[in-house]
Amino acid sequence: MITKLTHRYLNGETTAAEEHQLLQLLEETPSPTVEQKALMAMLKASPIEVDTAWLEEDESNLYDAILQKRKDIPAHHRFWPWISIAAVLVIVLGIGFSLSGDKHRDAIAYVYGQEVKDENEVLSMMESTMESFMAGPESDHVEEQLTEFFGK
Amino acid sequence: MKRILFFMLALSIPSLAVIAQKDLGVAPIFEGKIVPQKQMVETVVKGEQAKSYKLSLFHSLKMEVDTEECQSIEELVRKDCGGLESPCVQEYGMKEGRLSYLIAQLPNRQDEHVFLCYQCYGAANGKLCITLVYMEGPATMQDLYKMFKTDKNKKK
Repeated sequence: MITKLTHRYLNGETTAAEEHQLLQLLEETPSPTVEQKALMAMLKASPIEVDTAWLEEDESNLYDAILQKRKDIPAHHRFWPWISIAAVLVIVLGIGFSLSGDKHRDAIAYVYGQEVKDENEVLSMMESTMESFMAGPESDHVEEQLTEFFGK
Repeated sequence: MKRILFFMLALSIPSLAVIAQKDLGVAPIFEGKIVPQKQMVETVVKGEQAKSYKLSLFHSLKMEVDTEECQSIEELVRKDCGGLESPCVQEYGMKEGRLSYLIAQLPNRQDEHVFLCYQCYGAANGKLCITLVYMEGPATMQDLYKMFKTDKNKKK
């Protein structure tokens, strides 16, 4: 019974009588759990006073009245949390992409800070470097490669 | 808030791939902490372009340094290799008391082979020219020899 009434109360489906009954049942419980104690505190709190002044004007259009009241709130008032989250995400993504810059290229080279734009040239630099290593320490090829790069 | 943090983390992941050698002693060299990056010729090849060489990352530096900088760099390279007599060192050469050439295969990183190559020669202006290469990938040493067209035998 307590469980059923608790579910109904938390779903906002209980009448005042059912809430009173639930409070009584909880108070009679010998060892209430933490959740039950919290529920008792909620039930004992003063009932919320609903402003019914506008309701008295036209009780038959309760739903329309609620909807109209919501529409009266300006759109930017209602949506500002979502707009601000979207703006932050756009800024973060924009910063992220701009910082990543050329790093999305698979072949990058800088000659004394100057970027080498041509990817084929970058690959050619890589191959020359490796050929010089594979040729061994005494190869003239090494000197050629070093001259080629440091001579630029 | 959690979403923002997730997106920021996701965006930072690509930039980390280029500094895969960050755990090594030579990492400061690649980060430009010993010789500024504007004084180097730096080449990075990764992703699809590197795959054709059976590599996942190729990062090379060429720079002109003085004797002191050369000694610092050489010490870092030797330390990462565990010394010149370590089994990691495939080839090395000495000239005038300093390391002139070294090819080493370091311990694998995430099932990929790791190579460190070093060259040092005197330049015309009295400085020393150093080339340092860091590579990662499935390629073996034999693959690298085949790809870069040499028929040379290993010797120390």
